[in-house]
Amino acid sequence: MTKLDTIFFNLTEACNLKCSYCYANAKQGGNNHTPKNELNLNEISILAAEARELGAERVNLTGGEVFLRKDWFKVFKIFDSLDFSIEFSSNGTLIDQKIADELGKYSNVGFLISLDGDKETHELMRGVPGSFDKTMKGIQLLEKVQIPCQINTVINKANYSSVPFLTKFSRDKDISLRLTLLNCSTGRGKESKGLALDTDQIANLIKYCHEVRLRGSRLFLNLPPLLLPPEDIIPIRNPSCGWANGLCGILPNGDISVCALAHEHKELVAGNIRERSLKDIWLNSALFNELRGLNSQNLEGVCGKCTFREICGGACRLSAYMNSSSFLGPCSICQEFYDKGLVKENF
Amino acid sequence: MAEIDPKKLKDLLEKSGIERMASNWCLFCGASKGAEAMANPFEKADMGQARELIASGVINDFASRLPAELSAASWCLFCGASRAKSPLEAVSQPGALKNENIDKLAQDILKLSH
Repeated sequence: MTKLDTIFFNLTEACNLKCSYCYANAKQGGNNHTPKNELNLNEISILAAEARELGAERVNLTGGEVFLRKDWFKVFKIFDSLDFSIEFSSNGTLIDQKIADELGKYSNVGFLISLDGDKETHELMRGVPGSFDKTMKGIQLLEKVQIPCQINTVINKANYSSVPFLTKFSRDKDISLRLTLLNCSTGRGKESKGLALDTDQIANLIKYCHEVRLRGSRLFLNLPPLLLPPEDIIPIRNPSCGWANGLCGILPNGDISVCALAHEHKELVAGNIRERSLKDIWLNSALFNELRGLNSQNLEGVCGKCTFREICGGACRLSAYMNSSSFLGPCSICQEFYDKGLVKENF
Repeated sequence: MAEIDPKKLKDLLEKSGIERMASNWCLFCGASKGAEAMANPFEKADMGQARELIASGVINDFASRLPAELSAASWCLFCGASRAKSPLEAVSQPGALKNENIDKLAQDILKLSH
């Protein structure tokens, strides 16, 4: 039986911000959230129990903005009662004293907070004035109750110049900072393709990251191992993040998808828990079984030749699928580096 | 395709011994616990051969039969990369993450002006 390890659960499509590159194409509705077709608590209870039975130990609660769901704490308690390790992916703006105090009582909670750069850059990208200060306050509150926190930044041309600010922020707060390149063609990300860093900027960022890490920075780049100096490679425990082999995405309406980023692709939905059980979908769906049958030796382009192919698995397969319409397509960033002769010698 | 001699590889790995044990996870490629070796058999070999060894399953098979005490190492069987260090060990200039250094690196490497 293929064990389920992690579920990425998009609790809601609603968001109080309007980020220009939002992969989820979250709907901006201020702070007034009206659930539409979202799973209710009873459905979530059944889903969580089934996920646990399949072996899942970790859930990432994301959105939209999780804290717009008025019953978010009840959702949290459902997963907590099943001994899940629980991560919140949040923009941090709605975290108040009450939320921090409540979650501070638990040891199985962590936060991934999105931050795009300094105030001007952050608010330009987030589309809402005042959001920077609210995010800062949210981080501060989490810090006070000692909830582990990581900053996630989608790095692109618009916030490239904020990298020094982010490095200093991470140092001052002693928080790790994960930089992920804008390379996703879903949601509003499609309209932001022009913002993707060019190869020279990526190469410079790799060098910069290495240098600041030598000086003790907790900044790290979420890039395939082929592109990174050995010391900067993040341990990967699941090739290609584990989709279908340990990870699945749950969309607000109960669709079970290969990952949370695949919401726009109906062909990447394996089923809906309102029609079939999670267990049945996870174990028997044609889609998941097809993905499990993929062999990294058949990866195309540079990925098929790469030393790391067995453990990297070609990095984000969803990006490859969207770029090449094939689950076996090459990682576009590695391919570009390879085509330009920029990958390590004897890779 | 490079010639692969599984027996030769096995001998090479076993000779390297317990003293090379170090980490749980390969910091180079992220290979899982149990898949690391105690020596780098590819140190002077070409990486083409390393790729073939990985692809052929020889390495995985060998790693799966390693005794538990040999499952952690400084060198990775999967990627054959050079010596791995923990993130903290990799810090060669502790205390040098000062504002002026960050700004200088950003200027020199990222080509950002103040």
